Amino acid sequence: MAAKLSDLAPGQRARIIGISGNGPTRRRMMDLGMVAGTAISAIRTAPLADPVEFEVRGYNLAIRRRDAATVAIELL
Amino acid sequence: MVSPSTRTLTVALAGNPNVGKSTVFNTLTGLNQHVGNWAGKTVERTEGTVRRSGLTIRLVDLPGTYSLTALSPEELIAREYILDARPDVVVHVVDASNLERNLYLTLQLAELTDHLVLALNMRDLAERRGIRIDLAALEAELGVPVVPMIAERREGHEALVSAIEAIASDRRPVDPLRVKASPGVVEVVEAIADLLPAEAGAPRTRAWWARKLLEQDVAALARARREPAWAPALRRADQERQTRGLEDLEAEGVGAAYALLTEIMNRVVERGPSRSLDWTDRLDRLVTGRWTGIPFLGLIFGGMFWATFMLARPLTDRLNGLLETLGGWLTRGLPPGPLTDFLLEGPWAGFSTVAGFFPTILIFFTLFAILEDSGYLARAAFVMDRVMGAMGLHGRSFLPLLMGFGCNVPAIMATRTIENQGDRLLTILVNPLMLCQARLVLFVFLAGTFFPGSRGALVLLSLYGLSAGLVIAVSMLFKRLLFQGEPSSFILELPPYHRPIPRNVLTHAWRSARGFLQRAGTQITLMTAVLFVFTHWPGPGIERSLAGQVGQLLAPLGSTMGLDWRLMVSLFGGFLAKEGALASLAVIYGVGEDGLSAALQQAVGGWSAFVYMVVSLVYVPCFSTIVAIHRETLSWRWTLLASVYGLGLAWGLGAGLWQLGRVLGWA
Repeated sequence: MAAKLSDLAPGQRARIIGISGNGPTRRRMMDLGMVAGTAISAIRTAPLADPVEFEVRGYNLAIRRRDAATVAIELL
Repeated sequence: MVSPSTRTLTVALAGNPNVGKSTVFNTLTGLNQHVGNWAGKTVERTEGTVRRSGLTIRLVDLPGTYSLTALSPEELIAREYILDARPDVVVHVVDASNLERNLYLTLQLAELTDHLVLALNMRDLAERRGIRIDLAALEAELGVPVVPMIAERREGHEALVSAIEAIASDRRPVDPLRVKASPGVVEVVEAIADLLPAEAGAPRTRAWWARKLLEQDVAALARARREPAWAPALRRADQERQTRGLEDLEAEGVGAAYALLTEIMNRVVERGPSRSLDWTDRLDRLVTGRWTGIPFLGLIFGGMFWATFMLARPLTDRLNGLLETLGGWLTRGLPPGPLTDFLLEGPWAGFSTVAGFFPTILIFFTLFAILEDSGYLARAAFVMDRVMGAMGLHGRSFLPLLMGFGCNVPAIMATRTIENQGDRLLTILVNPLMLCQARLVLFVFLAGTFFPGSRGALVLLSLYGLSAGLVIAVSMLFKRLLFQGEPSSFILELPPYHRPIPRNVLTHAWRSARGFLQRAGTQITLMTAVLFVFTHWPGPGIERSLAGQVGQLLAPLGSTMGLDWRLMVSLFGGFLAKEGALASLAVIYGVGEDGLSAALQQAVGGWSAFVYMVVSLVYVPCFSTIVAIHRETLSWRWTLLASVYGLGLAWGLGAGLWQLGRVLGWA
């Protein structure tokens, strides 16, 4: 089973394989540049452990763990 | 001599959030702005005029969006405007320091129009971050003019105006780059486009609709179902999607667009070392840090709360004093009689109430705009999302809720930054449950009257606790009942910190305050007229008015909560403004406000007084809040729900507490 974006610890880097599901959340993430092959790294988690801040394509994006769990990744 | 004819162009301004689009807009149009709403939407619409010799530009500021997918009202507005209004030129404002993602929207805009120009903003920031962009190469790659700008320093505006004019008069050929779909997809799209009626637009527009039908875009499907002439195209799209395995056309399309952008970036952008060693990152370690994030948020929002409601108070007092003086002049100037009473205590009182909000709203939105512009509000949402998410709300809901402790009116207006409509409605619906300062005036008086000493503080504290508890419980309940199945997600850009621009901040604050006054002014003035008649006619005194009679009819209901008819009637007085209940009580008991304490102590028991406070907290939002709710939802159904659910809740709580008190021997 592939790793999930929600498993990525701060400081780690990964490549996106794909986003499961079908809803608007998936489309939103893709529109923001999270398409297959994109490099993404986890920066930090919020004080209460959720959401998580990521860096993708040179800018920073906060995503809830539950949404991040739909993103399949491979560690770099 | 006949003056040279002036050409008028309609130009739309598009762009991502946080790219300085409003700075470009404000600098170009100056004070020539008109603010309204997009038809039937709660999204603000701003238009302005730019005048140059022989040229007038009507500039329409489209809502800030990341894409033109039909995921939010903002995105729909932006793309429908370009499709339907066909502006002469579309200006895409992009952030040079974050080019790749910004250009994704450029590619989407290019699908809708040929007349596109790129306003490459924030070049200074990009340079500090070591990003060097080859402008000529970028222009060649994209096939559209690129105008470098630093909107903050007013650099590049004239070049932009010239570019707009050149494109509109076809002196500057534009051939925007478009993403190429795989040949198989192109074939299918063309086949579907051919089935669309000619009214759907030019061939390229039809192809765009065809593609959207294949992607099962919500708005495209809705339109196809509405218009019979689209039926064949819709059927074909469904068929093709199933037979050709085009289920994931979206991923393919977005993937192709970003692949193209990556190539372009490699050719036009050179990355050197960043000279601004990312202080955004350093600041974020404090602002969103594990141990520091929440205390910092408490400090900022506490300060904001204090500033809004404490700084506003002397101003409000002075304004009220002024209005009272004016009222005094009116009293002396008008012949005494029922009509004068009506005018002064009805419409004039209503107008004074609305005017009294002005300093608070102005100060609140000035601070709000500073926090939003600086990038802090996004961090605050990030820090608080866990808590808000547990309540079925969004991280962005936190500030509006907190501000509800001050005044529900600006709090509800502040929900505009919540992107998801469900989250936004929910935040609006529960906001009136927050114990605002007007209710605090009432409660401090009653607590002082009935619970002297430290017991009074305990009573106030328990009311605050109840207020917060109800917000949590009711939002969880409404989330289940009303917004079930609404996907809740939190995907939020944390933009680099940025020094707020005074001009933008003041424009924003002024617009919010003026918008409320214009709308609320008329509605509240009208409503107070009605309310005056209700509480005075036939009279004399509220107890012999219609309201008094209704209140007496409600006596049996009141008795289930231990409230006599006088207390019930006074609730009508609290409808215009919550502290108004005090004035009503004074009238009913036939004493001045000075004698009210003694009169109440004689007539009402302590536990009844507590129940009365709980009922006052919950029963209805004040009228100004209802007006704000309607303004922000543009829906009578939601406004009605927000206005009346409290009645049932108040009764349930009141009756429950009264019975509990009886069992425990407190009543």
